[in-house]
Amino acid sequence: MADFKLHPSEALIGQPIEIGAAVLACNQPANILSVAPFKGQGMAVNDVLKAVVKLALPTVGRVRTKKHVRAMWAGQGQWFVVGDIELAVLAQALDTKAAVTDQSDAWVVLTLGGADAREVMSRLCSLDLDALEQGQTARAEFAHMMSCITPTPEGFEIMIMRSFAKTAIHHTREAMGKLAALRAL
Amino acid sequence: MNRIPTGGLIDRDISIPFTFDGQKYTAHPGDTLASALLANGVRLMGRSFKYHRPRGVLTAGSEEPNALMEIGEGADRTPNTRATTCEVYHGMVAQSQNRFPSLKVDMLAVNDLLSPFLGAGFYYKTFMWPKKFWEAVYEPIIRRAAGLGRLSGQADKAVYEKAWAYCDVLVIGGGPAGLMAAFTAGKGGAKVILADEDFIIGGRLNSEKTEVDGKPSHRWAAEMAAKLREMPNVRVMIRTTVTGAYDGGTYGAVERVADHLADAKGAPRQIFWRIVAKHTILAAGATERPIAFPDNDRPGIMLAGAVRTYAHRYGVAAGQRVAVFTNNDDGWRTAQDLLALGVTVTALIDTRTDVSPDIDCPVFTGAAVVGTSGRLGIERLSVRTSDGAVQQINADCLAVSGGWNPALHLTGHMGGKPTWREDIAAFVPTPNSIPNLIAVGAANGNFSTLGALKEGMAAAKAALKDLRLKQVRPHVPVADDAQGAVAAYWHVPDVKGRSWLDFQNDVTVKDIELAHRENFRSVEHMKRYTTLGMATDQGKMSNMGALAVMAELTGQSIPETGTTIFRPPYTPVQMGALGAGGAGKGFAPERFTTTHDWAVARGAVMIEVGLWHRASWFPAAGETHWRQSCDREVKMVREAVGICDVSTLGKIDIQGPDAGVFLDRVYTNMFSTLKVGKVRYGLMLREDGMVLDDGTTARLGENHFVMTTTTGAAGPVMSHLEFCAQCLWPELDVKMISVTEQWAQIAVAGPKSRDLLAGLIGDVSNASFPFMGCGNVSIGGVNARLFRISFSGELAYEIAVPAGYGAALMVELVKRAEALGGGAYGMEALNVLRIEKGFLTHAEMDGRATVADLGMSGMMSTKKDFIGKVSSQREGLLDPMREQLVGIRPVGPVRQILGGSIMVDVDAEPIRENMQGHVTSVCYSPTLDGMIGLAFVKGGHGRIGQTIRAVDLLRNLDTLCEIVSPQFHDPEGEKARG
Amino acid sequence: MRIHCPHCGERDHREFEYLGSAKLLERPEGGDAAAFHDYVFQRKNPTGENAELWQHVMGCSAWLHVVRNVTTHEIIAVKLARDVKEAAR
Ligand SMILES: [Zn+2]
Repeated sequence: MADFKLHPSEALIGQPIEIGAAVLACNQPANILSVAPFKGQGMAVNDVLKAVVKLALPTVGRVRTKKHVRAMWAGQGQWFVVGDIELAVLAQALDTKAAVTDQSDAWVVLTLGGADAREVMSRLCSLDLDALEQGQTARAEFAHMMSCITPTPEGFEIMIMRSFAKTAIHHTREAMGKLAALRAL
Repeated sequence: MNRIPTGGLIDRDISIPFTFDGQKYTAHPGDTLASALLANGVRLMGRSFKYHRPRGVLTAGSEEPNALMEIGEGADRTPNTRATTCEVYHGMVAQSQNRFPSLKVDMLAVNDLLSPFLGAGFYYKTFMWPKKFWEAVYEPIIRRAAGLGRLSGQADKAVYEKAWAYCDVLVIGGGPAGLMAAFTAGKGGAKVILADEDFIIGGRLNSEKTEVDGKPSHRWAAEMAAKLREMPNVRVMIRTTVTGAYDGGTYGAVERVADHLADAKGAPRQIFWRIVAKHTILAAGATERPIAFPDNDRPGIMLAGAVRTYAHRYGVAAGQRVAVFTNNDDGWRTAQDLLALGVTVTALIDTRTDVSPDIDCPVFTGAAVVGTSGRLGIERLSVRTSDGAVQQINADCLAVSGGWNPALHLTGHMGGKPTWREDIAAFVPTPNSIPNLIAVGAANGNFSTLGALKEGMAAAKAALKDLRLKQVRPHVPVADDAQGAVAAYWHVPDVKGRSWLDFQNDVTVKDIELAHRENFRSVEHMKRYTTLGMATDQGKMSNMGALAVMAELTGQSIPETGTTIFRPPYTPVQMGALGAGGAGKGFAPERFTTTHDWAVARGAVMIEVGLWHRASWFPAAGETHWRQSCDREVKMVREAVGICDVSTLGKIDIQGPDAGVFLDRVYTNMFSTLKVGKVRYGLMLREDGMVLDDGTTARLGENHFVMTTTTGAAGPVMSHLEFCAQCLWPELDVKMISVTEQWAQIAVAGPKSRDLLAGLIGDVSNASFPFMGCGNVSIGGVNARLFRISFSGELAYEIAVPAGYGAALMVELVKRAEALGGGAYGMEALNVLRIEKGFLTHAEMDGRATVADLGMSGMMSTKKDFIGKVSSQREGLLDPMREQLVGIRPVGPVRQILGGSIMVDVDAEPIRENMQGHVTSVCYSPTLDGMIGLAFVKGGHGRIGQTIRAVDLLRNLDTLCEIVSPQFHDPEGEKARG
Repeated sequence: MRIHCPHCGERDHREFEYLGSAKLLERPEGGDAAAFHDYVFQRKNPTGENAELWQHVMGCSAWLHVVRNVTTHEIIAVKLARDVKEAAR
């Protein structure tokens, strides 16, 4: 067998894109694992997660963070555990308690920050952004694409499926550019 | 020049040059195009739609029916812009419209002379026959003669934007009621949006000479606006028209960001807002209505309120000698205001007999205007006095006031009907026409300034209470409390000549009488018969007058006569704004595979498959036609090894103790019996028995499967499975999640695929990796999944790696394939390969095919229930003469087959009655050296070996074909198992 | 139209997909052809309130049982279809 190594593709955004008072960047975590507890296993899953990543699953629409790992609600009966946690470790620990899949490469994690982050978001997302508080997360439509929107102290984290990410970046750049031009009028 | 020496909300220190019909003029900041033209003495501003009658500006607001202009040049030219709302910018080029060759000499004014023949219903009666004349003759002539502005014919270069906003309280209109509502709600801590269509907040407070809290009303409005802008919870949006009210508290609004600027500098010209409001306060004010009298459309005849607006806000006297015609107290106010500004008032004509205005000008009570004269503008008017005598009066401007109509249009957008109020002779909004919307002030029929302030505050307090926010008691400003008496008076009776009701669509009182005579009496019939209210002003000026005329004729009251339904938009909205975000790349999201950039760099010709971009073929050196590339790629797979990115197939991870049972219920065949490490092909039905999708499902563990779907059906299948799990069998313990995006999946197909993989991952022989096997492997240090499945019929594998490694794997595989005489292949070759094998796509699974039609009845398990099982056994679906999937190949002199051809028997005429089926897929098969196709043929499974014709009547091809098995290549499947 | 998803809160209708009558929850047991004919094809055509199935496809993916006034578009009640189905058992 040949001695070769596969190397991952580069992030879609290298240097953060700053237009006007908004900054778009990629902030890809080490891992994104989906966890869907089987029937009646919610408590057991929480026990395992507390032991492995010191975190229990948050309630619907919420995020919990402990050091380098975050647990976020990601849809009906489904959570994402995000950060420094390996698939093999979690899958083994949860074994018959929950369905675990690797989603690390399925999602591109973008961050939108700056004073105008919220205004840019209002061009792209039909959510009531003011009603979305820190600690919350939403599955929502973003420029006609599925996404997970999570408010951060700097602005928003936008998780987009990998194949859609170029489109998301394009539309976000456009919205940033139009807003910056409007502000300059 | 009509500019009054002082006053007005304009900046007289700055002059802005602009042109109108090529003439140079100047305006001041704060001017609209209409006020600037009036200031420059221009009265003639347009020609009417049908008769090309000269028209001047009638109003000072967005309800303007006459002064419509083309603004800008080239691709930037925008037709039908209302001069009354259009702010003048430096270098603006404005043109009048609907005239030829010029506004003053319009040849099509001949239509006016023909008007006895062009009345209401004319088109319907005249252009009935001969039929072919309609398209060839009548319509082009009418289209040229009747019309509004011209489109530029070029793509709109302007930038548009769309946005969402949420608020507790949306206040529509920034007049006294709206300002007070927004201020109160803002003080109470509500999240407020105040939207006003004007470029200065204040509404009529900017148009009247009155005081609020001891200050000029416009100053009070400006101070309130400044206070609102300082509140962090209040968003003041000027130049923003709320155009529609929709379900669930959603409102559409257009913000004109840069229409007033010569250069938008990359900013959106307009933003289309979707505003979601918990409470809405409609403070849109009221629009003044005209009185119909003969020749009441002559330039210089304007609404009285507009005359006051031009005087107070713009410092423009609409005329040097002004006459006023009124049925209410507002007319007196107009005369008084003008006199105070030093303008001559030649007459005050009041239709009421029981009034005695104390005004220093000639006054006629119980009188009416019965005619006007003047070339291209009013010069004189005829007044019929209370004793019946007719008197001539000189005037270059006639200010008309027929009372006010509350701007209730939005309250009709969800089907609500307004309520008639006899005391103000107007319709007012019916409460709860729009859930959680309250109309206040003039929009609610309360025409006093103080009343508007109070109602605005009360509505905001009610909203605060409902929102459980802080109750506040703002100071109520001191203001005028006069309601202004009005006596209903719609048109001057017993007159000769044409009294205009709808200025935009040229509808007169006589046209309504004609509609009545011809029995088009219901308002909806009258509207369509006469076209009244169907122009861009949606009857804001004309509806009430026409209703009143019809009510008189039928002897009914106005509320009995009814109103037509107001629909969005409140004012015309540009297509660019409605389509904001939907042009270009905004049309639909694009999806890119991980190998996209690599494929493009390789020179691949890309094709859109649903939202995905995929490589169609990879041209090699010297290849100039897609067929050369495709044929080569097919041969490469059949003889060596080909590499293809198949990541777009849907992949669904299914886990749980009941996963096997679940799959048994959604697939026609068994999956609970599938062994771990094996893959099985499955068919999925809809509940009506038709095939929904096909694909392979692999069992990775006892309770763990991965399903693949076709590219196009990935979303619908996921949704279907979720429906089954949540709505049909929630008791099953099964979890699903899409992993389409997690895995890049690449097919390695061809007799040398095993050799290629041997060098990459080791032994993949039949012994260690049999046909339809699957398992985890390591490639280049990455955990991957290997599937021994084939969509080409060759010995083939599919490798899945985490998507981040997709591009790297592709490069490696193609490099190795090329060393073995193979290489990359695209969608065209993939399609040929699968047609040669008779494999399905959605050209065959077209929603009308059953499993039996596809010749796969063996896949219908009898041991279990599954979605679609019962319905698939319906009598009609078991008919042996249904259209069944077969292969076809040419056997006559014509060697080509076209997709979509219809099938007919050899001797039959190619007509619908003789149709035997249709061709679903065709290709040139390099393997068989000829064209082949898949087709549905009636009773096809029993007709193998017979001949039939594939006929394409559009492209004129008639091909004699033999019906054959759809498995053209290696029907035993030995190659894939090899 | 705004639909209140029990998980996600009130969202614009663009995030949802409509399937049809909530009768689709009542899939017949067994193989009775007449019962399936009724289930697959027979629908009432009401004015006023109607029970429908919508999926929050752009959100949590839950299937929803939505009682909607089809005349006024007023959304009267929204439940998880899963809960409605389980309650009916
Ligand atoms: Zn939801």
